[in-house]
Amino acid sequence: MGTQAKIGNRLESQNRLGKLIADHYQEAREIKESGRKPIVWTTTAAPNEILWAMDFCVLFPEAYAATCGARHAAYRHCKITEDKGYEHHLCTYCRNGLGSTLADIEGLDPFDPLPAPDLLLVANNSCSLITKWWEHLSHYWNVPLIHIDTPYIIPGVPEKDVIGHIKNQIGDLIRFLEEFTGKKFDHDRLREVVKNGSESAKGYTDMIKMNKHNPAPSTYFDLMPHNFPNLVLRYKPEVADHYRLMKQEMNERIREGIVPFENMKYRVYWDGIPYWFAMRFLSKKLQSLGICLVTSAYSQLFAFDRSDPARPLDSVAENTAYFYLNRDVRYKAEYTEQLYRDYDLEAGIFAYAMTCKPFSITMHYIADYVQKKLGVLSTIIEGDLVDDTFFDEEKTGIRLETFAEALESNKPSVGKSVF
Amino acid sequence: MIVAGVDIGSQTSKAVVLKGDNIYRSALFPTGTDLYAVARKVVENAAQELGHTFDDIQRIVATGYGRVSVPFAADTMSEITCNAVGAYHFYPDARVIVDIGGQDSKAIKLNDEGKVVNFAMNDKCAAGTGRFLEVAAETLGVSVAELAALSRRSGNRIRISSTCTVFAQTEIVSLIARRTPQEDIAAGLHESIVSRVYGLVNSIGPGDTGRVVMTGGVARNDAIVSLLANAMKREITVPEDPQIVTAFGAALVARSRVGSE
Repeated sequence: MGTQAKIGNRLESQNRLGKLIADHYQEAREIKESGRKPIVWTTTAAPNEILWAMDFCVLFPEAYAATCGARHAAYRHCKITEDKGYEHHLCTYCRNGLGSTLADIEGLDPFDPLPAPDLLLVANNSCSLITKWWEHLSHYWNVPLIHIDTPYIIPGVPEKDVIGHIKNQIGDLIRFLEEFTGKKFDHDRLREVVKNGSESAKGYTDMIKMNKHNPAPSTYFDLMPHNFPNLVLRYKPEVADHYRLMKQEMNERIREGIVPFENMKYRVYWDGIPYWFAMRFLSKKLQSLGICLVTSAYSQLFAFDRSDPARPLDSVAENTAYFYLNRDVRYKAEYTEQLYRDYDLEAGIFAYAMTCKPFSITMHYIADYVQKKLGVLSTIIEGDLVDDTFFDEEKTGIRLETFAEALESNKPSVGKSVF
Repeated sequence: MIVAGVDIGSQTSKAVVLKGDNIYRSALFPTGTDLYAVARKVVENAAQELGHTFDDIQRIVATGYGRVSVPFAADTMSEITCNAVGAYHFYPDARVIVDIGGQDSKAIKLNDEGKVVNFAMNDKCAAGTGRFLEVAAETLGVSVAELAALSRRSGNRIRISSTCTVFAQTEIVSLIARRTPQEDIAAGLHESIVSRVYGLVNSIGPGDTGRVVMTGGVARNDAIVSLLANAMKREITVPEDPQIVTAFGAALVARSRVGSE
């Protein structure tokens, strides 16, 4: 990858994404005011198609936490939980969520709060703590909580049993929701929701794969926020259009030789949940070092690529069971190795999140695995999801500079001398 | 050819002025708050030691936390790379470097060509750094050197459970209150640092061959060096002046870049 002449402006798709997000939250606020639909707060990979098929307004506190982090508002919510005695090292998505809830209930001016829930749904496939977070929400809001138990997909566990177990619980969920809403569940509507989801998922994964091109038409940080539509809005047919237009835009860039920034030197993998408050710092730093983040296994968390309208209930159960974070570490390491091969990556940055142990604990293993398998350089940086008190710009900067210097000196063309 | 490397650390600023291949002098000052002034002073002093002036220096490379505050440097480079270059120059068979400075500790793995193939730094706290020992020594009312001497006399090393520098102070006070011998506390403190650093070193996959070199101010503490050597089951080499290795590496980088533009 050499220096390129044409540097791309911000993707037009970013503006469309901004509107999709704003419209979603605006609609949720209107629904709350009118009371025309019940509101449910759910987790990333719960069987959410069931909720959409029942015409719930579905909101995602994890996505809200990321927004609060990116808008530098999470610290307010985190501070509220600390003032209540919750400890500093508790998951900061959780602290943000509980803090905004407490602020809302106590009239303390939370940042753009999610409209209050009528119901809570949690699946423990993304995290071992999240059920406890949702339990607290249930107590604070005084609304019912439904829990979907998702055993890990690990070697030795019959996968059919796991899927069957989840499917049984989806049946229970449907019966509960019928009682809760007084409405009969509409299987035709579910098929339509899953069909929209499968088209959205295909658009999303195709879009992510555009960065296989060398030079990449976008940095991974540019693409990453576009997980939102496939996570939150995939039940709508227009979401597939968003990804189609985005793919078109990236194709045009490839055709015209447009790259995201000057002097792109290294194609690098990113592992982990982004440090939402530090995206600008990290983007600028990485660009200054010629490091182009190309892709991440984090994208796979939002793929929901098993959606199949011919088998709606089964495919919803499979999306829940096979959620990336519900897989064992060996699977993740092999998946990551394949990403390095498919995207022609030469090194990796692993972003350890100090308060997200279930996600971060695998990083050393995966970094070590790809390093040994492929002989690539890895570095682990330290920070957090939304709490900047765990992050040190100077130390992170030094790690990234050293990483770039090592990449430069390890290039075969540099020869035997270190410099 | 006269070049210089300047390493502005969190607590100490170091400079090496290098003439030809092997003639060099160094200087060292506390960093303080005026980074530009200390950078200039430390380079001038090293140049004078060599019988030259600041203006005789053809190229300067800055490294360390304060590297961006050295406007007279032609380039900046991270201290990990400079440390690796410096250590490899002195010991071409070095494959692992452990550097413990004032407020950070690092482990670096080199290949046969002296290139950095893996590295790790301590996280955002002073555990496992020189600062931990300083705070502990202050709490015990001794100097850092005395702390090391006390440690060697211990017959019953106790375990300090607090890795946090601030909490360790509280723990030391409570140990004093329980009349725990100073020697045993000192030994426990050294063990605590080494335990952190040992984890850091293992995280880079140090292998079991090649020389292990220890640099940074804490490398002068032979109690730490021998405890780490025991933990790693390997000999550790400490350069004659372990604090200037990174500045020396920066000077070597400067030398390699003279006339490159």
